[in-house]
Amino acid sequence: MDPSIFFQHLLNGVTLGSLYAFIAVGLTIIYGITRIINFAHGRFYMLGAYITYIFLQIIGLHYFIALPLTILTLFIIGYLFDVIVLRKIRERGYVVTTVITLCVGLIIGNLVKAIWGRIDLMMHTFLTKSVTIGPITTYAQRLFSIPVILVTFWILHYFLFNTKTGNAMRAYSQNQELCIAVGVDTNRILTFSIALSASLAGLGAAVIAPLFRIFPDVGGLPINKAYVIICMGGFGNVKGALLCAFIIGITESVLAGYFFPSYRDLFGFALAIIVFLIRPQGIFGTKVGFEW
Amino acid sequence: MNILSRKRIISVSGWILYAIIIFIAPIFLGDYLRHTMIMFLFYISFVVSYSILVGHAGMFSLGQQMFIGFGAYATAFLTTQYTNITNILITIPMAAIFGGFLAYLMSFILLKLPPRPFSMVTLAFNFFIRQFWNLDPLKFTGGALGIKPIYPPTIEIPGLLYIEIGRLGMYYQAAIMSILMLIFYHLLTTSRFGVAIRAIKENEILAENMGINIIWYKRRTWIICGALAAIAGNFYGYYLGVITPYVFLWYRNTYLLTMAYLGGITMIEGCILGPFIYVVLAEFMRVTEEFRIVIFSAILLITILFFPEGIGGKVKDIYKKIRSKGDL
Repeated sequence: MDPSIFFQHLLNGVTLGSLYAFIAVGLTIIYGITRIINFAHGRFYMLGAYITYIFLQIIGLHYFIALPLTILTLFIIGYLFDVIVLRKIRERGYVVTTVITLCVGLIIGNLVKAIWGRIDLMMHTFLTKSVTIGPITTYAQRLFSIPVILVTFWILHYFLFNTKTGNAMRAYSQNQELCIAVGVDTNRILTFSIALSASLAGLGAAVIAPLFRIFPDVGGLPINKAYVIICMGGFGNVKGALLCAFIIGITESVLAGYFFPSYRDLFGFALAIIVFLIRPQGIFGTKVGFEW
Repeated sequence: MNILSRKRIISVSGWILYAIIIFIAPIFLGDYLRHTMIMFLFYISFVVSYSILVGHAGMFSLGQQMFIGFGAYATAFLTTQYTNITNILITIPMAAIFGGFLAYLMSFILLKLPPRPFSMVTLAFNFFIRQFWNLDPLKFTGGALGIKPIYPPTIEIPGLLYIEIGRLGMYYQAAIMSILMLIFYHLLTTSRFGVAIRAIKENEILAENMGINIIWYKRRTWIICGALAAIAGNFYGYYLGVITPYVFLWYRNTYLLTMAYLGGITMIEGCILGPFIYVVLAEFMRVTEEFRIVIFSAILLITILFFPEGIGGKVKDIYKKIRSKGDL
């Protein structure tokens, strides 16, 4: 067995895993804090990819300026999504919230499809060129995703445990009445958590989307995996989502690379079914909603 | 309760009128409208299973679409690949058994979960099934090309009866199926079983304390709804004549949601009204698929925001208000 090929597959798996992680962690944060399953989350990723494309190719900014601008734009989109859509239906039960996020997601997705057309786009950053490190030859963009995800989740962890807003978010997910009683502005917390999740999806799009084509359904497959990942990791559990994202990404990449190239998408779902058989509530699943 | 009360006479005669209209309609319809009517009748049979599952039992599944696929694939296996059975007296029970058996297997995972994870895991199953059927690792589903052709249905009793069901016969097959489904729906939801599942939906802990075995009821509801949807899928397979893994696409569940919620998800009238409005709207909106999805999503959004009980529920409310004013 050639080790360089193995490392190549491993690197691809890590990239895929970080793509899933960016989406699944945002989804699991929304679920853990607001108890809403956000079926419009895949559209955040799609919008992130298109906005990165606009900043990079149409306006012609440098990649490191386009990256924070994309995150900021998605933060605003997430904020508006909460203010316009979710804030009014939060108390209406999970069927209503599920159906409405599903509808909003379909409306956004299909409007983009109708306006932009079903054209495949590619974007070029200064990182989309091949580099050779030892035995591995790969895109610099792929390597770039690894420090980004490490830094992002370190910052996220710091934010959730060491700042006032982060603590309030965790407190809200554990006991809502008590949280209101001690004077936490719940609307602000909920809006912020959704905007944060949206900007995570935007960051994922800005980092990973230059590797692949961009088309209106670009968020479709990753978001399907992300739903399965948050089921696998335990609902609302960030650590579980992060771990499962990388497990699924690496499993898919390595197994597909060595054995059955066309069965790539089946492995992730099959792994999830096996996990459900052993632990239906997920690997780290508990009764408490939101956890690191 | 008086068996000949005025209310009951009106409702029974209404249903009989509905059945008569359904049965004489194809005489006046051309090919195209007949096709539309067939789809309408098929949607009724499908919405019935979803209405029991979501409206009465409160099990919010997002993967009900897959049972249509199971029913259609069971039919396809029987008619084409291994045997050559087109007899609906065999294929309908086999489709129901196939759908019910897979529902039974899934129930071991699903019933341990609280409501939100339940709907997510049904969705996860749907994704898995779609990929499994599409990639076909065990070489029995025909892969992405699907299975074709599925021969037209027949009714056979050896030595006694042999009928080939043609294009017009398919209409009556759909009509009879939908009416039997509606009768089943009525019997189930007015029985002790229906009361029990509604009790579980309203308050699970209280229901358990009243001596209702929650897992027993939920498992049976899930299996029954799977089998009913598979029976509708049996017709779907016959009618299309070809079945591909596209049937498992998860966003098709939104069409189902639209139909179920438009009509009113807890009412038997809603099972007819929802598909009817859906079919009429779909006929007027033969635009590109993108705009169709946008419009249906907008309709579903407005329905669920402003009339959570559906249009049927709203009409019933208005009717009750008028009646009560008249009495005063």
